[in-house]
Amino acid sequence: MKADELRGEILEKVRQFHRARTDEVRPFEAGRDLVHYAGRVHDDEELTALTESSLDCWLTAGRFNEEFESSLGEFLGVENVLTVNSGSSANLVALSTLTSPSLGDRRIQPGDEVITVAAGFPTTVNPIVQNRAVPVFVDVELGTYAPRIERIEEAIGPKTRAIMFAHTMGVPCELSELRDLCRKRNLWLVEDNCDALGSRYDGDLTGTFGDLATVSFYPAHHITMGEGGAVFTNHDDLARIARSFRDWGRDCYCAAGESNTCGLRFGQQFGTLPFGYDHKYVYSHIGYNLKITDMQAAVGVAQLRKLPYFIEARKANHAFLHESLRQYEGDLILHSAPARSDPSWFGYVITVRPESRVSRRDLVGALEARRVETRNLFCGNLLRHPAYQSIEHRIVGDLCNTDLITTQTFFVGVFPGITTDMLRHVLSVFGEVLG
Amino acid sequence: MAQPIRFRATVSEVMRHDPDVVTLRLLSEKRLPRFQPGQFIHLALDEFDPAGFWPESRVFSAANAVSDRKTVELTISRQGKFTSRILDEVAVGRSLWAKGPYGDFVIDGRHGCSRIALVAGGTGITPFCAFMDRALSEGRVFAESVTLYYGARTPDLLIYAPLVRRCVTEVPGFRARLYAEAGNSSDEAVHHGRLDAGEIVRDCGIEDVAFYVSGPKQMIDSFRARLTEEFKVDVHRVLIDAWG
Repeated sequence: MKADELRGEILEKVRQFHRARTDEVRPFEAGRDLVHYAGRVHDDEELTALTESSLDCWLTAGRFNEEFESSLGEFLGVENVLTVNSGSSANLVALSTLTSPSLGDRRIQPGDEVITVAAGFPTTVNPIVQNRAVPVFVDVELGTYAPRIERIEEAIGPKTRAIMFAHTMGVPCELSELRDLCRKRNLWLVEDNCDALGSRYDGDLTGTFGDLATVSFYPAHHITMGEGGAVFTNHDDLARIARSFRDWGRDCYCAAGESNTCGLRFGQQFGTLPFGYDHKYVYSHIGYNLKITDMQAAVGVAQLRKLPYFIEARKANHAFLHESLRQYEGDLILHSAPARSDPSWFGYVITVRPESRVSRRDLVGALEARRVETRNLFCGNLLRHPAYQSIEHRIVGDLCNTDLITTQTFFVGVFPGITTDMLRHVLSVFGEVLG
Repeated sequence: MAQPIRFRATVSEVMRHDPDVVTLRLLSEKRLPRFQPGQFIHLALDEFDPAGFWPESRVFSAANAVSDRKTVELTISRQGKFTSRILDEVAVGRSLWAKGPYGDFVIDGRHGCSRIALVAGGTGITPFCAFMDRALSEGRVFAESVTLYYGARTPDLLIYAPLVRRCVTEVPGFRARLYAEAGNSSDEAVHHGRLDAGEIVRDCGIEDVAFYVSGPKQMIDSFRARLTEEFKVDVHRVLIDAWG
């Protein structure tokens, strides 16, 4: 039997395996089965792509990665997509890119300030600290969990070089206004779009407003490849720098398994190296190795085809919860979004009003007891965590809402794997506690 | 530069200028990355398995701006075995593998000069064709003035002369001088003789000028040496389309 025929047979067996496993899944039973806050949703396409990639045994980023980067670029309408091994790595690469000496006066240097928020996930802020810049924190609004443009503008000082924060839970801030502000003040804008793939503001996809943006493909996110993320930009020069930071800091841009694509591998002068030093081993940045494998990319290719459906499912689930939870607005601050935005929601975020007769602990306890997963809004106020007690930083205004989020806020899932029966079960628990 | 990709393309047109020079128009099966004028692709003739290693290939500058993100035009002259295979084997309808865009010989304003001299020998015109293609679509050039010095063996081999003339007519700040080493031309604008660094310097000067040189290796080496050594042009303002 020829290799192609065997490959086809193997892939067919994988499809059969998926069908058999799917047939064994029993219907959801409220109170017994977990309602996850997030999770991977896949079918036989992901399994066959993964198998096909493993049969290639290319292992490092290859044909599937190339297809994934191109396809995601087309979805987003951006010129350059670089996969990395996580959303956190994407943030690290994006911020590090802006420290490149090749950016001249515009580069972020130690002591320069980057405006951000404390209510979110740590690896949005970490790259700022790791690059010895100073995070400047502004508060966010309750409901949207996004900062207001006025707060950001107040925080801009003589050392401000960039603005970088997440579209928390899929909700963008006033992005057109923020982009205009950055242009006016000559600031870099980095969108941490890890929670928000498919969200829109003024009709445009989030991640396309900034100079650089990031996305995560961790299983909790809109699409997954297990571990994974991407940096994207419309600036070719920034993309080249980002690629260098991702790929050990090297100057050469040849893909894995290739060399001398530029024809100048042994014909250039760099630094004080001897003329013609092998370009593959010339380093223009102090970089990392944050690349993905082709198996991850193969799963991503299959997931990307489902993304439009995933986005709609998230919106529908969020809307269902929202309508049903309106009756509890006396106790709860419900999840909302700025006018002109159209979020691809990550979860349904709820803040228990401090004056409510129930506490977050009561509500979360009841949900968890009835097998409904909940999560806090990530780290709450990042500055209250042990690792951040002594970091150099600046706070503009106060972080009252951020502190309130730390004590009062949590979220439940809206991901495409959640069924209407599951949502009804979730709502029944809210009814038991608040009704 | 944009992330290069590997793509399969179909030859949609073959234009033979003489037995040793051909222009191919390739239509990519997928959307291509953004090309910058001056960038090139690798072209392979043998079948390629995307799950494996890239086959033998040669590089050719895109002779168009690839503004439709699909069509790449290449002009290829017979240099050795591989280019001979292209000239002898490739016909309309043939499927080929390519990858790109590559290269830092990008004709833009990063050198900071307000005046540009483009020096093209033979099929070395192709990177400048991409530049002219973009200039025509945008109706302008990024610099105060751009002068193209374009030479070939015979007037017939000034194959992009019509594009050059169009650019001179339609793009403010763009002018050109054409040279043919042998043969007669009915076009008075075509000068007899070779491209010469001294003549070019006399024509455009060296103050605030960036020189882009593309063509046969001997020509490039000669121009680079004369411009930097004899005329003391800063080495960073002499940009060459070199391989190896």
